[in-house]
Amino acid sequence: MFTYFVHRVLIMIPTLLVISILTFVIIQLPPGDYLSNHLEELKSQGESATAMAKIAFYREQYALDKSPLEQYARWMGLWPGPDGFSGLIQGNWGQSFAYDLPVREVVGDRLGLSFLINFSTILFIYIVAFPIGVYSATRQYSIGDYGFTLIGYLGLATPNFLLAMVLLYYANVYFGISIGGLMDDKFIGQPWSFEKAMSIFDHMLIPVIVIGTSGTASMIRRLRANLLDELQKQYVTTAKAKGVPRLRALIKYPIRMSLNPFIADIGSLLPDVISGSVIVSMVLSLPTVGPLLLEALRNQDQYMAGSLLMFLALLTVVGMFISDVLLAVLDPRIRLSGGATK
Amino acid sequence: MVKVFTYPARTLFGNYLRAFFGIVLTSAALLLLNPISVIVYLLVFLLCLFLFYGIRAIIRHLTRLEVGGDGIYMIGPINRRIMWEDLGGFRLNYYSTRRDGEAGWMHLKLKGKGVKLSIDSTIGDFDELVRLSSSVAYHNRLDIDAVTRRNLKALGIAQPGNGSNLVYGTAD
Repeated sequence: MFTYFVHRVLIMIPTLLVISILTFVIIQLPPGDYLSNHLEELKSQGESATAMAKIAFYREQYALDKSPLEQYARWMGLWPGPDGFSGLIQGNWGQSFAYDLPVREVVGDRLGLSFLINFSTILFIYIVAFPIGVYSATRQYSIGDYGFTLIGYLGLATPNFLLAMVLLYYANVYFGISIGGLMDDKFIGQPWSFEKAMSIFDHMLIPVIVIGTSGTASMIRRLRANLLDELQKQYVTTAKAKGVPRLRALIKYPIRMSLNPFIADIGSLLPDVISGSVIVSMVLSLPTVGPLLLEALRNQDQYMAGSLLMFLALLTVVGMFISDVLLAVLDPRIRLSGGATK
Repeated sequence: MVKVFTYPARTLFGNYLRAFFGIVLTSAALLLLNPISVIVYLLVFLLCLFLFYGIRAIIRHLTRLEVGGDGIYMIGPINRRIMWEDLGGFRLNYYSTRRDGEAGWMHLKLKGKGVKLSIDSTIGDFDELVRLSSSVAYHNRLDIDAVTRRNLKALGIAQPGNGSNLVYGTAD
């Protein structure tokens, strides 16, 4: 297992490097950049010496007039700039040109809140999908199974943003509550407190349900299908015939085997949840990184977009790593089509 | 008759290379790039991981396993032994970092009287070692789990008896 862990870590390092290169290339792809556009605006309004000097400073600081390779190396903190090494690795996320503030200040608590929402959503998906999936498989073609199947298909077919708008409307009309935002207005910009945490918890329920619905529905379908496959295998019939109690015959092996996709999905769930949460965050006015990222991409605010994309990529890579390690622990079986090497 | 198993130098070369690259990369990042504290902790953890990995490769290089009629002996910088009559745990795992599950390696774990032996499939004549220890495991009527059974099957090692009573401990 230790060898597997080390090999997997060694794969993660170049993966993150390649992702950072791709991220940088993608944010550089559109023609022009924020500063060039801003410069044109200033010229059309009559030049302001201070603004022009600031733009020149940013160009020098971030090597914007140098080769893309040097820009990338400075952004990552692999190459020294005027202030020495100062990039992502050193905790400097660069400057948001649109806000004229460091990216770190603009992002503020949003990264933590995004992580909280996405983590809670994944937890919600697992907690809801597991018992329903097991119930549906063990009570195949019962009324309950049909009911959950119907709800599952509805969950799969309903776009998240639509569900968000419907809930937003009905919660307001019938219950008189506003579910927009992630905390009561009085806590915005305030230091952390128990009341603030409780307010976030209250507001998080609806976003988590909205973002997690489609993931839960697909997870239920997958778990049901896998468990049904296992339950129809010969060893289960033999176990039952030998008098093994029903629950033990279910838990001992079939559930363990059908858990594989559950764990394997941690990695693929993260990007789904994150990309799904961007639109939902816009609709529900959630202070997460989603709306900021969208705005940064539209404005060509390259360092803001790059830093946020790197954060999301990091979450995905870490998620894949966790899911791979858990899978290796849970099911270290050889696939009979493959072969071990010495 | 005693059979000796060792890790061939060419199979350990990859381990040395991985440890070397890991140590160089993490040390260079720590010393040259002045990273923030979170990344420093992460890099220090990784550095320790690669150092341990390298040390383990050296230990394996200097170790030999002797399998005889009475038990299995690990001889080298760390000395351990498990007598066959004490063998109480037998597990064979398979790991692969590739999505298709190919090009992986196996890992044999033996337990007996508080002693544990971990053997990678990079050791010379691994199949023979597994064959010998699995026959003892079956002889000792150990509970062989489904994962190990499947991996044994992949190695082409026959299982004595149908063994169905081993899948569910309560069913005879």
